[in-house]
Order: sequence, then C-alpha cells, then structure tokens
Amino acid sequence: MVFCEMKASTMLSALASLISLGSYILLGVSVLTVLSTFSSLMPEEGREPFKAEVSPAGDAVFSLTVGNTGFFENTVNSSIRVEFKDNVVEKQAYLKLKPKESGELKFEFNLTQRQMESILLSPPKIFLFLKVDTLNGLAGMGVKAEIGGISSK
Amino acid sequence: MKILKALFGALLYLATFVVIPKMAVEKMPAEMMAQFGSQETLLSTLTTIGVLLAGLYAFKTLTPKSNPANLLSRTLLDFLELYVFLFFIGLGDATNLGLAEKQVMSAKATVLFNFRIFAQLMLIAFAIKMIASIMEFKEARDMKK
Repeated sequence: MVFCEMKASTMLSALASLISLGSYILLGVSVLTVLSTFSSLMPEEGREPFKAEVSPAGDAVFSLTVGNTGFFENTVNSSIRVEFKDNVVEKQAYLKLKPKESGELKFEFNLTQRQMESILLSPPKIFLFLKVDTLNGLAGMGVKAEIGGISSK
Repeated sequence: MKILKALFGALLYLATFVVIPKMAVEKMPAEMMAQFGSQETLLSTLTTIGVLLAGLYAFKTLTPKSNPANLLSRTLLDFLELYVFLFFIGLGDATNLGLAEKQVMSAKATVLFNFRIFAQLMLIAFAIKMIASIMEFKEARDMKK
C-alpha cells in the first residue's frame, strides 16, 4: 500500500513539474512568436510597413506588411477605423502566417466626395486594432492605437 | 547533502528574484516598466518574494517530510511561485489570470494580453502539486509510525 502511494505521489509530482515546465516553455515560445509579428511593424531604413494612399478619385488604400519569424503559426486579426469629421468608416482584414512567412493586410476604402472634402478641412483620425494569436488562438497579444491622420496629396 | 541542496536552491531563488530583476530593470524600456508600477515597488516586491521563496525552500529541504511545517512550507512555496507567474502574465495583476488590458503611452494605445491558457495550466499543476504534497506527507507519517 505504501509502495503504491509512494508511486502515485512521485508520479503526480513529476506530472505537475512537467506541466509547469511545459507551460514556461510554451509561454516563452508563444511570446517570441507573437512579438516577432509585432516587431515586423517597426519601420526600418528602406522598409515602411504601413502605407496609406488616397487618390483624387476617392480610392483609399491602407496596407500593413507583417511577418512571422517565430516558431508557430500566427493569425493576425486587424481592423482599421477612420474617423472623419462627421462620419466613421471601418474595415477588417485577416491573415494567417506560417513561420518565416510575411504578408500584407490591405484595407480598401471608397471615399465619398463629402469625405474627400472633409480630409481637406480636417485630417481624419485613424485607429488601428491589431491582434496576433498563436497556438490556434489559445494565446495572443493585441494592440489598439491611434496611428495618425491622413491628408490629401 | 541536504544543507547543500537547501543552500543551492535558496541561492537560485535569490538570483532569479533579486539579482536578475535588478539587472533587467536597467535594460527594460521605461514604457514597459511603467506597466508594473514604479521601479522601486517592483524591485522591493520581487526582493521580498525572492527572500520568502529562498527561506521556504531552505526550510522545506531541511525539515522532515512528516513534519506539518514541511507541508505548510511546500504549499506556500508552490503558491508563491504560482502568484509570481500570474503576476507577470497579468501585467502586474495576478487576479486577471492572464487576461490583461493596459493603457500605454499616456492612454494613446491599449495593449491586450491573452495568456489565460498558461494560467489555467499552472493552476492545474498547482492543484496536482498540492495532492502530491499531501500524499507524501501522509506517507511519511505512516512510515514514521
């Protein structure tokens, strides 16, 4: 009986240690994977991850180049919200990135004459929401931020 | 041998919670540090936790397993380790269990953390450790009789 209990307690201790160690390792690798996507958003010399273009006809394109240099597959959920003086437009984009892969999140807007005019008067505010998930959505990090305004060319 | 084990373990805890954080704090960006409160508060909290963990580990190693104080020190040690883990993945708040939302850059941006799965795994590990500790305590007492 004592032998059986000893075996069980030792096994339970080993199992708990295994779960703890596994959690630490998975957490570390997940954080590195997710952070790799966020760090790809940092502008570098000769590389501008965020681009915003508005044509005089009212076609606006916002694009965001993201990469994954981590170890697991990442899913990037993003939405962009443009706040004009009197109205708001919002677009969503989604991307799945395998390790060592990069992609582009594209948000295309068709701005009305009224919105184009309001750009001239007061630049709209742009808010970006970016959420990077890994481990099939079990862990992730996100950021909501104002990324500045746009003005007509 | 037990004394050596206790000494080594205690030193490891002190290095992890006292020495390394002091070095890390100097290299960490100020914006990131602000999420955990002031530098002094964070360092003093970690130092307290480190000293407590070191003391508990040494006590646990040096006392016989049949002693109730040993069981108590093991429980406290495991609980403190769990608390530290939850404190970090919760960005300074252990009660949110790995699901944190913090405003940064003077509220111009919000950062979201979802590491709940690891909090749940660590809670499961803690529960298993508790059961194992009680079983080991009971077994040591039975052997003593």
